[in-house]
Order: sequence, then C-alpha cells, then structure tokens
Amino acid sequence: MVKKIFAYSYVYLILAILYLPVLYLIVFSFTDATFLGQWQNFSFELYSQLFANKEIMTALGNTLILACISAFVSTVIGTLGAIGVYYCKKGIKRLTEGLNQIPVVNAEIVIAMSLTVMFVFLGQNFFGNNSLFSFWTLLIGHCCLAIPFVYLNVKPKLQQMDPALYEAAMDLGASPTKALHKVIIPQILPGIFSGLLLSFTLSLDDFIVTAFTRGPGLLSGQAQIETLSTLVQAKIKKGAVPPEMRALTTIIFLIVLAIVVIYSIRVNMKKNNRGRRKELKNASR
Amino acid sequence: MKYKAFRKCLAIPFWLFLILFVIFPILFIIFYAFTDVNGNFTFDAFTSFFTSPVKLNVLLISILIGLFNTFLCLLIGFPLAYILANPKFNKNYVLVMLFVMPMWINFVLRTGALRDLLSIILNACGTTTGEHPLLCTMIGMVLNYLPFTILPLYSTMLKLDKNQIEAAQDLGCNPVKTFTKSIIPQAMPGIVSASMMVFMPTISSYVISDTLSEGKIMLFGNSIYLSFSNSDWNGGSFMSLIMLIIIFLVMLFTRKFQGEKDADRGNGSW
Amino acid sequence: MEKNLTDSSTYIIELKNVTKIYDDVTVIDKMNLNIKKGEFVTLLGPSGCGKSTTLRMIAGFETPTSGDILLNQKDITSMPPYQRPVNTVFQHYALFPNLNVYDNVAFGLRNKKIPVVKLDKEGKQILQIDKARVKDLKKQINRIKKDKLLSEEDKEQRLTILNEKLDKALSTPVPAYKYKHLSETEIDEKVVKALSIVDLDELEERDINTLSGGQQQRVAIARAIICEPQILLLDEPLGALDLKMRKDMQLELKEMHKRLGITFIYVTHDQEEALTMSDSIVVMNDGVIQQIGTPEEIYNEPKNAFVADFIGSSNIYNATVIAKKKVRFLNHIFDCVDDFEVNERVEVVVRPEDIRLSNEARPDYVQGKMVSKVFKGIHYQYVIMIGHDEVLAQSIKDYPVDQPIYIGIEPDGIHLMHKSDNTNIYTDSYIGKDHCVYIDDKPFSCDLSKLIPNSQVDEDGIVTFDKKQYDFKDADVVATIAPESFLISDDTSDAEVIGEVISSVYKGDHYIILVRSKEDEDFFVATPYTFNPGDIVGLKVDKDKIGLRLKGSIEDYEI
Repeated sequence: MVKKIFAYSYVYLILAILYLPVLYLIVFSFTDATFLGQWQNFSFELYSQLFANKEIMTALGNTLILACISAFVSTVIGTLGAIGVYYCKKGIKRLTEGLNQIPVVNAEIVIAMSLTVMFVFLGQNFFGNNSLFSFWTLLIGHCCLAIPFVYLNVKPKLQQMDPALYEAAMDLGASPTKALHKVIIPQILPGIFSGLLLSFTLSLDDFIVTAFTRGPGLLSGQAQIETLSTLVQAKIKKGAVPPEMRALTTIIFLIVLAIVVIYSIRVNMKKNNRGRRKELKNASR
Repeated sequence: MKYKAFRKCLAIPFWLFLILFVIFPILFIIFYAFTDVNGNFTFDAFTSFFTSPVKLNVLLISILIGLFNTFLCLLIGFPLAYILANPKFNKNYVLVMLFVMPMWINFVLRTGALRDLLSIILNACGTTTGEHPLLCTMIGMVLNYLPFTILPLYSTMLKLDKNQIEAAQDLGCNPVKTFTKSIIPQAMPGIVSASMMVFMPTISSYVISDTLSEGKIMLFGNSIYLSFSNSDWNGGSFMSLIMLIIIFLVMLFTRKFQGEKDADRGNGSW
Repeated sequence: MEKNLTDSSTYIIELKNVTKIYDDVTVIDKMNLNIKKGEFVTLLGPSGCGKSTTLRMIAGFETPTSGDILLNQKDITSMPPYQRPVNTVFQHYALFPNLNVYDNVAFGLRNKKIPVVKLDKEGKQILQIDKARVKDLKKQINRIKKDKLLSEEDKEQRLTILNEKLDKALSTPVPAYKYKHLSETEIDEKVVKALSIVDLDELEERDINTLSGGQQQRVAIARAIICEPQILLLDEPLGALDLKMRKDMQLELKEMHKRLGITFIYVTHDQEEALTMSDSIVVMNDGVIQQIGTPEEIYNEPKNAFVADFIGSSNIYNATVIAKKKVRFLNHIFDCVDDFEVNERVEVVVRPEDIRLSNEARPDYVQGKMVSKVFKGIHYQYVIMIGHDEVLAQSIKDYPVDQPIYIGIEPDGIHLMHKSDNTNIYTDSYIGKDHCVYIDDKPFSCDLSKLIPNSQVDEDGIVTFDKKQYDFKDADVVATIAPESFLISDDTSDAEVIGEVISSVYKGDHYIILVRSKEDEDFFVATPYTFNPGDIVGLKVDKDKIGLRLKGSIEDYEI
C-alpha cells in the first residue's frame, strides 16, 4: 500500500512538473494583465485580442494549411510507397527500407541544412540565381520529416494482411486499381490514419525545418511564411510569450484534451463491448 | 505480368522522393563541406573546424550535455515507465496518454512558457535565468525529452517476462540484484532506443538552448543554425557532415542492442 | 497428351508445352495438359511438385516462362486474371475482412460488365475495329518475341500467323459493344441464390470474422461460383478444416460439381481426397506429370513407382521378368498378367488387399514371419517379413504375431511397371536417430534439408524452413540415388554397402553394374571400370547425391 502511494505520488509529481509551464499559460490566459506573472482580474480580453491579432492569425492559418497539405501529400506518397515496396523483391525492399531509415534517425537540423544547401545550389546554378525558397520548398521539407513515418506506420498493417486478398480481388474481376481501393486500402486504413495524424503533428510542431526551408508565400504573401513555431520563436527571443499566445495555448490544450477524452472513451467502450460479447457467448453455452 | 508491375509502380513517387530529397541533399552536404564559396575543392572547412578551439568546445559540450540529459531522462523515466507498465499500479493507457499529451502543444510555445515560468521563480529567489543558463537548459531538455524516453521504455516494460523476474526472486536475488540481473537486461532494447531518441536530438537541438540559456550555451545545433543565418553554407555543411557521422557511429554502436528499433521509433510518438 | 487424337473442341483448357522458371529453378517442365469441359480434375502431388503453380497459371497469377494456355481454343496466356472467366477458391479462403458475407459474395458481380450491342440513332449496329482484340493480339506478339525457350523457326511461324490475324482485326470492323454493370436487383437475386447453394441463407449480414471455418469455406465457394465461371479452381480448399468437416465438404463439393456443371480443377496433396472426388487425376512430381487417369486407373495401374507409392499404401519391389509372364521378387517366382520382355528389370506393385494369407504352407505361397498386427475396424493390417523385405497385408481374419505365415499373390494382383531409368529408388527407407537415411537397414549419411526445398539443416538434424522446425527422426522416406553417384571399389573397408556384382552391361562409354547386397537389395552402379560377376565390391555415395522425399504429411514432423 505504501509502495502504491509512493508510486502514485511520483507519477503525479512528474506529470505536474511536465504540465506546469502549459498550465501557467492557461491560468494567465484568463486575465487581462500583459506582464509576466501578474494577475489583474478575470477576463476573456486576451481571447478577443487573439482573434484580432492579424500576425498570429496569419501564422495559425499558415501552420494549419501547411500541416494539412503536407500530411496529405506525405500520406499518399508514403502509403503508395509502402504498398509498392511490399510487393518488391527482398533486395529492393531492404535497400528502400535502409534509405527510409535515414531521415528517421537523422537530426532534424541536418535534414534542414542538407535541403537548404541543395535548394541554394539549384537556385544559383539552374534557376538564374533566383531563390527557390517558397511554399514548395517548405512543403518538401515537411514531407521529408513525415513520409518515412507514414511508411513505418503502414508497413506492419500490410504485413498483417493476407497476401492472397489482392489476388482474390483480381480473380473476381477487379482491375488492379479497383483491387487496391476496395481491398488493400480498407485493410491498411488504421495504419494510413495513424500515419496521417503523425505527419500532421510533425508538421504542426516543426521549427527547424520550417526556419530553414521557408520562403515567401501562403497567407504571408510576399513576406516569409510565418508558422506558429517561427512566430513564437521570434517573439520569445525578444521577451516573454506574447499574452495572446496564452489564449491560443488554452484553445489548443482544450482541443487536444477533447481528442484524448474521446479516444479513451472509445477504448473503454471497445473493452466493455468485448467483455459483453464474451458474457453473451458464455451465456449461450 | 502487368498487374504485378502496376503495384510496384505505386512506389515510384516514394523512391523518387527518397532519391531527390534524402540522397541528393546528403550528397550536396558532402560537396559543400569540401568546397569553398566559388565551388573549388578545399579542406578549409575541415581545417577551420578542427583548429578552432571554440568549435571543438561546442562539440564537446554538446556531447556532454547530451549524455547528461540522456542519463537524467533515463533516471526519471525508467521508474516512471516501470510503474505505468506494472498492472499492480496502473491498468489504464490513459495515464500514459497524459504523458504524451504535452507533445501536441507547440514545442516552441512550451519552451517559451517554461522560460517565463523559470524567470518568475528565479526572480522570486532573487536571481535571473540569465545567471543560470546551464540549469535552465537542463530543465528544459529534461522536460522536453522525458516523454520520448517514457514511450519506448513503457513498451518494452509491457513485454517484461514476469516469470523471469519471479524466478530471480525465487532464486534468492534481493530486489537490487533482481533489478540489475533481470529487469535491466530485459529492458535493454527500450533503454537503447530511448537513449537514441534523447541523445541525438539534444546535441542538435537549437530552440531549447537558445531560448533557455538566452544564447549563452552554444550546442552543435546552435552552431549549425548560426552558419545558416550567416549563409555560411560550407561551414554549415561541414558541421552537418560531422553530425551525420556521429549519428552513423551511434547507430552502428546501438545496432548490437536493438532488435525492433523501427517499430519503437515509428510508433514512438503515440 | 495421349488423348490428343480426340476432337480438341471438347477441351476447355489446354496447357501446351508450358514451362515455368523462377529464379533459375524450373518449377514446371514442358507440361502438356488437356482438361475436358465439365470434368472434376484433381492435380495431386507432394508439396513443391508444381501443382499450385499450374493452378496459378490457369488463374492468371503467374505467366508461363514459355508455352501457351488455351481456354476454349483461345490463347489466354497473357490475359490478366481479372479478365479470365475463371474463379478461384483460395487455400485460406482470402475473404475480404472489411466486407460482410453479402458483400463478399457480391464482389465479383459488382465488377462484372455485361456487353450490350451499341446502336446508332436509327437503331442500326455501329461497326468499328475491335480494339480489345487488337490489344490482345499485340500482347501475344510481344510475348512470343520475348520467349527465350522457343526456337527461331517456331517463333517466326507463330509471329506470321499472329501478324496476319492482327492485320485482319485491323481491317475488319465488327459490331461495337458497350458495357453495363448489373443492377442491384439482379445482383441481389444472384447472391441469394449462391448463398442458398452453399446453405448460408441466413447469414448475409454477418461479419466474416464471426463465422466458423466451415462457414467461411462456404462463403469462399459462393463468392467464386456466383460469376458463373467456366472453370472453378480450388487450391487445397479443405486443408484448414477438421477431418469430419472435410469429409462432409468433399461430398458436398462433388454434389455441387454435378449440379453446377462447370469444370472443377482441384489441387490437393491428399490422395484419398483425390480418389474420392475426381473424375480424373493428374499426378505430378518435380514439375512433371507422372500419370493422368481416372482414380481407378491411377490406383490399379500406376505407371511408375512414384505414383504407386504416392497413391494408397502399397508394396513396391524391384523385380526381374525371368520368363514370359513370370516375375521374380521376394525370392520367389510369381505368375503375372503383364507381358513384359524377359530379363527386364521392373518394379512391381502389390496392394495390401491383394495379398492372401494362410497359416499353412501351400503351393506358390511364400513363407514369412508375422511381425505386427494393427486392428483397423473392418480388417487387420499386418506387417510380414520375408527375408529382408517388408510386406504390408490386410485381412479380415486374425493371425497370430511372431508366427510363421504364408503369403500368396494372385497374378492379377501383381502390377508390373517399367523402370524409367536405372535410378535406384528405395521406397522403404527411413531416417535414423543419427540423421542418416537407412536404405535396406544400412545407414547412409545424407542431407536432410533435401526433404524440404530451400530449407536449412543444423548439426542436430533439425530442419528449418519458413520459421518452422522439423525433426525427421524415424520418418519414412523414399531415397533415390543415381547410378553415377555411387563410388565403387574393390576396397570394402570403408564402404557403406558391400555386395556382389551380379551383372555388368556395357553402355558405350560406361558399364551399368548390378550389385546385390547380402540383404538382397539391388544397386545399379555406373562406372567406367570393369568388374566381373562374382566380385565383392564396396559402395559409397556422397551425401549430397542422395535424393530424399518424405512419405506422408510434413506437419507430423513439425516441432
């Protein structure tokens, strides 16, 4: 019992420390004091300021657009890649997996630097000394981070699949494309979905690759694309986290919390269902 | 047969992407590392790196901080993962999710918040963050990388062979001996992949050290970033190459310990 | 093959000179096979004999390296599987887990398109060039060009014919068709009918994963027959069911075959299944057809030792025709019906039920010793030793063990087979504890990994294949040794077998020597040196040169 209390207090202590910085932002999002650690009075002032703040809204918009597009592109390329490679011979398979592993183990800053150097070189030598940096280079950067993980998420689902399914579909008159989307894709859908979610969060969270490979574009127009990461980084270099960001943190936190709650409810429901099914089975016997 | 070729063709964009944006950039790094501004072959970057005590210092400090951070994360994360994976204490995956949840909030924002919070606390103690750059950086590093340690450790702990632990106890091992002789060896793959996921990103991290030490602690990542801001492509490429080599060596070293590294890392963030 | 003389229009599928090579391994070697419309044909053989590959080539999952496959006299060799009017029941069913029973069964129908004649505004048929036919011919031309195994002459000849056909197709317009999907009501009607054929009427909405193995099997069959294929291919479909269920399904499949009237091509390694169900059986080994015939022909008149041994339990002996319709084996001369050349070395097959037993000596009966007795329900199964030969016999009468017994064989119970070559085939060998193969109770060191293609063997004799491990201790095997694999010498000190030279035949550049061991086992040995009859010689054989094949099911040895 003592052991249990000790264990629990340890777990919750660490959790508390982990959450402290975020909780601090959340708590102080409900006051209109702009200074650090000051509490004036309870208000939603910061929230209205947040939505009025063009800079933050632009960055937020950029971040979301970029995350959606890069997650979609990465998921398509990564999934098709996983399917194609799955049906290849062993040698090619092993080689591709080795290649795929490079960005997984590589440091983000090296990925960013290598892409940047390549874009600089190509810009200087093949595009008449124009800068290539734009939304497209940024997209490539983010896809570089995500594609290998999509591949790694889809691959195990393919391995679990009965290899005869594809043949069975074709035997029943489905063309290769039809077999793919009627049979293969539904089988690996959970892997594709987790790959998509992972690419989305990787893109949302990224700073280094964005800072290196961005150029003008998206909602920022002629200016450098700002995402939340680059914007916040620029701000905190000069001083404290901008007050409006506290409000944004609260909103993000609530969304994440909602997702986690829904997820755990679903997991529990599944468990209960399984239990109930077992009971029914036992009863019928 | 045609349909067999069709399904292989699906991987063409993937292969193209890997070649164009993984292989080629690395070749460019190697190219830039050994050329000068005009594109002529030179060892300038090489010599200026290895003769500069400042840059070598940065590399050394980065490795030390990386090791220290790995050690701290394992020290805190190991018991945590053990408790979370032990059905006696915890049967719920939700608690594990709680540890992962902060990762979904923008990491730059979290770092900024931590800096603000630390400065409030330190101000209350009559000092400032600027006076304790190492302390602040280490706190930031541990808080940021702890979730990455917990997940791989948790997933190996779930697979711990309970019988083996009981057998060890049964054969007269005291708790300490049981721990070192049975639990640690079984959890080794998790420990190795957790270390990998902390050590390398720490060395190459930029935001945490830059923000929390207020620019006073330079890590390898910071130097690469600096050469990027100065458009020093050759120096930056050379340092990236060094980083690549370090990663390669560490991978080679850890390969011995690891069986299912991609599985751990691929699903690590979940 | 032999039935080529009959009108070829009765054949639904013809394989002509089909060869399949995977990574330099010939899996199917110049196979010719014709299957009649409406037949229930079984491809039977041990695992790795090429029967599944044959089926997959008919289904379209594999293309032959060389040769043609004709369906109703039309070349379909390079037609993709989704265009062939052929459906398959897969070994592990391969049902789509994301679809329920109904949608699984309806899957094929939803892909099916019905041709409708295209009419212009005045209601006349539109004529245009048959693009599909042109495409198909171009594919065929391409395939012939790439075929490396075809001779230049053949190639040229066939290309001219195909090119003529292509020109004709390009110049003569034919009525155009448009293609229409089936309506949902039509689909519904057919699904309901198919499900009632397999007795699954009530389960339409069920999830695939909640069905039992037998029910899944039925869904797989319904799914395959719903498109009314011209041929139904069944790839060991009953392998995953338990014994009783399998027996029921066998009868049901047979019944279904009668009712549907479509051609069934069935692949199995289970000889009993093949005998029960088939109209005709194709026995295969090492990518070559050993025999084609009705179950009765295959059982009663096996063409060679392989077929005799693979089908049913049987006694196989090396024998010599010593006079007209007289053959010597088991140290005795028997009368037989088959008229073979005198002095020919042959093999004889005697089915256990054709062996007569008696307690007392009778003329033409051979004395032996009763070794074991097993009660099998209707009859007893006995093992009798005569000299060093084992005789398997059946009788409804009870005879005591360890007593002398006399056996006799009626002339029509003895079936003579030509020896295909002088390869030494030992059908009653077994693997000993020392991982050697015992031929005639003499140990020969051998390579156990030969029992499973592409497997590995460790020092403990454990064979690993596909992550499974097998221990073949005490396994009954068939060992084959080519005559030229033996090393023969006068020095008998380190020989594996010692025997006496019986005969020596000069074959141009070498001698074929018959060596008979003390235990009366015969070995054919090829050697460039002369040995005289009566010489005592020692034989040795390199362990890599001993071919091994497992009798019975491999699963029995899995550990």
